[in-house]
Amino acid sequence: MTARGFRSIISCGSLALLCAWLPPQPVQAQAEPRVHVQATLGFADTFRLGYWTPLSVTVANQGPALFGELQVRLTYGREITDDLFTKTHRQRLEVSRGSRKRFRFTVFLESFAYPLEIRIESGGRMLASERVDLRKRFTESRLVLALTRDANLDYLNDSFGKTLRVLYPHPELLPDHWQGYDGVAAIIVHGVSLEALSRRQFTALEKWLARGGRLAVSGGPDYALLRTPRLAELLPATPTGLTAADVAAVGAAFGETLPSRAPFNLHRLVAYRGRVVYRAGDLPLVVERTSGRGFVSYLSFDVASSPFDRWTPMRRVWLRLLRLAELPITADRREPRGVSVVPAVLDRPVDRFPGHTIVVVLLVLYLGTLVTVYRLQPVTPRGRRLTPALLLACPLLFAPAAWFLFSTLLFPTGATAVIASVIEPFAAGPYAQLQVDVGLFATRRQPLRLEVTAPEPGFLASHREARWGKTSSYSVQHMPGGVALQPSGSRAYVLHLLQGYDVIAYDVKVSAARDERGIRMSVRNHTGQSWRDAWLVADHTLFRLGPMQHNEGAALTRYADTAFAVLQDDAWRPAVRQLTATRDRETRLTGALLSKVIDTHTATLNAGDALLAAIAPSPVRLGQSNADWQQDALALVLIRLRIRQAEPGNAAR
Amino acid sequence: MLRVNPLITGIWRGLVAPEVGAAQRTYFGCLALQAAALVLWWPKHSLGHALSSEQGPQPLLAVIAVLGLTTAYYSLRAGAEEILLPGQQSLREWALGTRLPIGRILGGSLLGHLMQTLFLITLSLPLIAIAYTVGGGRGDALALAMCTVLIQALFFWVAGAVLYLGIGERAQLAFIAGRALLCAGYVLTAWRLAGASHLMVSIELLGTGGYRIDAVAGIAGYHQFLLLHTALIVLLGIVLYLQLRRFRRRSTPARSPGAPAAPG
Repeated sequence: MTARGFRSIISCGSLALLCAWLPPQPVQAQAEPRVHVQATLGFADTFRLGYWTPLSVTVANQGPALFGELQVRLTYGREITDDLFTKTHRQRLEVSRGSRKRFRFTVFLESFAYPLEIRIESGGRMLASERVDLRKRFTESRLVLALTRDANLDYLNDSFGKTLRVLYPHPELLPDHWQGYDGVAAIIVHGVSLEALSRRQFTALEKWLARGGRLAVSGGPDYALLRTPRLAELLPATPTGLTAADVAAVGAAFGETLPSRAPFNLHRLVAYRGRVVYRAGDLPLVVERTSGRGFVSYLSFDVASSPFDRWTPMRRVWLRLLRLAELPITADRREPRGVSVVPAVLDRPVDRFPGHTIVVVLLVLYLGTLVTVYRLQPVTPRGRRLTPALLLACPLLFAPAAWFLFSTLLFPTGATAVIASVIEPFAAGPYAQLQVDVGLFATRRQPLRLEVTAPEPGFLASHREARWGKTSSYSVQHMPGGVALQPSGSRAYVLHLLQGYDVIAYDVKVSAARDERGIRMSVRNHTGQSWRDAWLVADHTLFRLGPMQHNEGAALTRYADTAFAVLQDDAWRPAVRQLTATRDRETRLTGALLSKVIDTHTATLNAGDALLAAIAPSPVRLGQSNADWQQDALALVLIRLRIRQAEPGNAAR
Repeated sequence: MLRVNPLITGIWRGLVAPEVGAAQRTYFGCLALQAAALVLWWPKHSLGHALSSEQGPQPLLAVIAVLGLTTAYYSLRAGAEEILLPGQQSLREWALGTRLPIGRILGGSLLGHLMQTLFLITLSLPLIAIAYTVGGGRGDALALAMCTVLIQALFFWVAGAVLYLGIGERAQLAFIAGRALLCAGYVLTAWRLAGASHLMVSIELLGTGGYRIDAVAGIAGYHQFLLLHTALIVLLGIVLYLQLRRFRRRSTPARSPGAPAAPG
């Protein structure tokens, strides 16, 4: 190389360095899509703080066809304690030219301090954004929804509208996920059918009822509306016509006097599937039916017509019927975030990194081999030729061997998901409440996108103890058949804790009877899943029942006669700790779930009550895109039941 | 180039020579330090502890930081010709004793030292592999960290060579100046100029604490490091070139046309 050539290289290098410092060329401007966003929050633009709320976003596109992502961003936490984080709901967005589309979300609103932000992004660019000021829309009152065309139920509002507030939402805007009704105390249906609701909207209503919702349907002149399929499915009786009411008897049934003696009609009811709560002579006034933890009331009279529309005690009747006690506002507050069970599963000394000994042994072996190769001092020409190959072979053979030993055998690296679910079947109906704790972490810096299949739980960041760090921002995307969760950032060794709630179909019936041999359990498991192990908590004792096969609804009998531990003071903990001290994370998950159940439920267990806890396959599973993740997923089925005394003739044979 | 540039072939022969000299002893010293860092920074607590503190184990960072420091030290000494491989000639000998163009001598020496550094990194591979399994780093970040080690090694080699050719006649001063440069390069940059510090760049790339170096003009920390060191290598390379040319010019009148051929 000549001096001139060297100078050329230096010049080119300097030029390249200079170019690297120059700012990039601006991207050529593209045609701006004209997109407008309109948001409707809650019911009639009113939501309740501390509850899940439906959000409807309408995107109108007047520009070219739009493909992108619709994001709804919520801010949680407190700035003063430096623990602010965001949750972003994402949905794929496809709106053709000149059209508008409605997107539904269910959001959890905890504070009105930060606005809700709606953004439309396409190809990394933000096309539109809208901020929804929450301060003007929140209420602390319990909400009663009136689905009606013309009835005026404003008399249900209290004098200051502080504890109870009646809203009249458009049925089209009703939530399509049961959690959307979270802030709703009761729904009153009058003069409309539910046939206009989409399938998802109706299922959401059913699930809300199963989880404790209160639905009241008022009779009216058009009783045929109450014979439409969806109302017929929900109602505790079927109307067959109208009949004249005995005014005095109706007033007497409610313990009040009606303001007018003018005659009015009642629905004539047949095919009762519930109990009659109020009766005027032979005619039922209110029939009620339980549905899961909730109930449906059928009022056979028209609440919007005379004499009930001007009857002052009607408010009291409603509150009694809907079991809406006059609560002060603060008494209805709640903390939706539970403490996750995942840290208890991970916080075990058995989950260790490979020990120092193996590291030192491997290092000594490697360095010793290297020194030996150098010290060989070959004297023959052939030996001298071999030395370079041996020198290079040493590290090049040791490196993959060390990699295999450590990353495959001793400490598998990558991402891990711990999914602990608790399923609590409702006493009436095929539904169960699902609570799922998800813990995500990686031992390598990588983005953590978790796709789970099966139900559609609404996720929130779990409440966490201070020592388990701060909550990271995260995003949730509902997809067909599942949910994708992605915490922001890609740091290794950071545990992300999320908690989801859902109502799922889980058909199981359990009963318990006491006879001379002990407690006899009868289980009809029609869930399609076998239980790996089951325990019964009764009489201050934890009994182990063993595995229970799925039996397609046939009765399976087990005796609780093998005590696993006595639940007095903390004497049971060592026995359960044996489960948690194992190296097998699944068994530890079982132990942790069992400890949590015993801790939280046995204190409220009355004499004669029992608690069945069974380990079942998790209803929340990892999706295809997470096939390379390590997964620890289990579900604990939890059923509270009353132990009845077995008749002498039915004792165990 | 490997066959034609006599400096590279000379360095290769020296690298794989079976003799145990100062260079080999230094290799082992470097490896022993890296092994010590690996053992010292190997996690002592459980996985649950790492997750609760959100501070993962840092053996990978420790090994790479020590690798960077040891290769920098080795490169400085090699540049200052305190360490020569068996049979290796000094730069001054190549410039004065041969007719090879200065640019070729410089290019061959740089590539030869790059080869030496790669050889050192190869010897450290098993340690890096062990540390990588629990270190929480990513493959691309590790590759970038290796690039920073290489570029820093080249920088210290050129800096050592410039010092040696500049003040090498006063051995004590050259010795102190070299070590001072290394200390300043590590301490001052880590303290005041994170984008130029190998330690801070390694923490950004491989640390589990989520540390980020402030971007300057939109340039990320490790890019700042690579650009700055490349620029310094180019500048110091020019200085080295001028120094070698000056040596040759001073000695040219005394040299006859039939000068000896290149050694090795």
